[in-house]
Amino acid sequence: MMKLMMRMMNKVLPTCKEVSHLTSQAMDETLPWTKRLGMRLHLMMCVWCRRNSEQLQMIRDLARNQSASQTKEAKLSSDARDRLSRLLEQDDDKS
Amino acid sequence: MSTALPMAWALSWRIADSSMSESDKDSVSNEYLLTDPKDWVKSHGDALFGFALRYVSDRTIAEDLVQECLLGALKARTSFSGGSSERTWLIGILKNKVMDHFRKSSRETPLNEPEQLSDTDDVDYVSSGPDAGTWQPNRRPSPWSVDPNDPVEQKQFWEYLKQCLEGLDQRLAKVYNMRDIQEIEYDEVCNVLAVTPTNLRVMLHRARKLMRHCLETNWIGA
Repeated sequence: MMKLMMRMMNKVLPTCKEVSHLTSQAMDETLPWTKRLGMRLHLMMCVWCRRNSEQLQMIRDLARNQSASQTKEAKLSSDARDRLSRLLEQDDDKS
Repeated sequence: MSTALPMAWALSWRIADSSMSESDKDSVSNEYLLTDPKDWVKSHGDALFGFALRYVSDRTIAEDLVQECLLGALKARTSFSGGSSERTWLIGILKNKVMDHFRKSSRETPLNEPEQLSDTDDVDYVSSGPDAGTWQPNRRPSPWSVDPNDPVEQKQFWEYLKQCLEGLDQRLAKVYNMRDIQEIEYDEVCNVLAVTPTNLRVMLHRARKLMRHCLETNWIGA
C-alpha cells in the first residue's frame, strides 16, 4: 500500500531524491513557493523523507548549540597572550 | 496641499541630514576613539580568538590569525572611522585575514571540483524502474529515539559528530563545519572559500547526507 502510494506520489510530486536536495537547500535559503509546496506535500506523505528532514535539522541544532558553548569558552593560551602583548608594545614603540 | 508641503520639507531635510553625516564619517579619522593598543589583547584577545576558531579549527592557525589582525589593526589605526565599535572594527580586519588564509590554502587544494561532485546519490535511491527516486530499502532513515535536550546525549552526540566529520572528505568536512557547526552565513562561506553557490549547495547536501548516515549507524545504532 505504502509502495503504491509512493509510486503515485512520485509521478506528481518531487521524488524522495529531489526532496532530499530540497530539504538541504531549505536549510540555507528560502525556496520558491512552488518547490516549497511540492516538498511539504511530499513530506506530509512520506515518513522516510520526514525523518530525514527532522534528523538533519536536529543534527544541525545540536551541533550549533554545542559549538557555540565551546566558542564562548575559547581562550587564548597564556603563552599566546604574552607573545601578542609583547608584539603590540614593540610595534607601538616603533610607530 | 497644506499637509504635503511640510512633509516634503521634512523629507528633504532628512535626506540632507543623512548625506551630511555620511560624508562626515568618511573624511574624519577617529583614531582617538580607539583604546591603547597595549590593552587590545586583554580586552579583545579571547573574542578574536573565538571568532577565528569558528573558521579554522586549528588553535595555532587561529592564534596566528589573531596576531596578523592585531598587527594589521595597529598599522591601520589612523584610518579608523569611528563608525563602528573597536571590537567590530577588529573583527572586520580579522575576517579579511581569515579570507586571505583560505585564499592561500585553496590555491594548494582547490575546493571547486564540480566533476567530482557529480551525482553520487545513487546508493541512497532506486535509480530506475517505477520506484526510481525513492529510498533504497536499506538506506531509509530509521526513527531516532534520542532526547536532544538531554545533556548526556548532547555530549555523546558531539563526540560522534567529531568522529564522523573526520571520516568525511576534507573539502566536505570544511564546508560542513563552517555552515552547520560554526553557523557561518551561506554567502560568507561561498566568499571565504571561493566556491560558487551551486557547488556549495551540492557539497552541503552530500556532507549532510553522509553525516546523518554516519550518526545513524554509530551514534543511534551504538
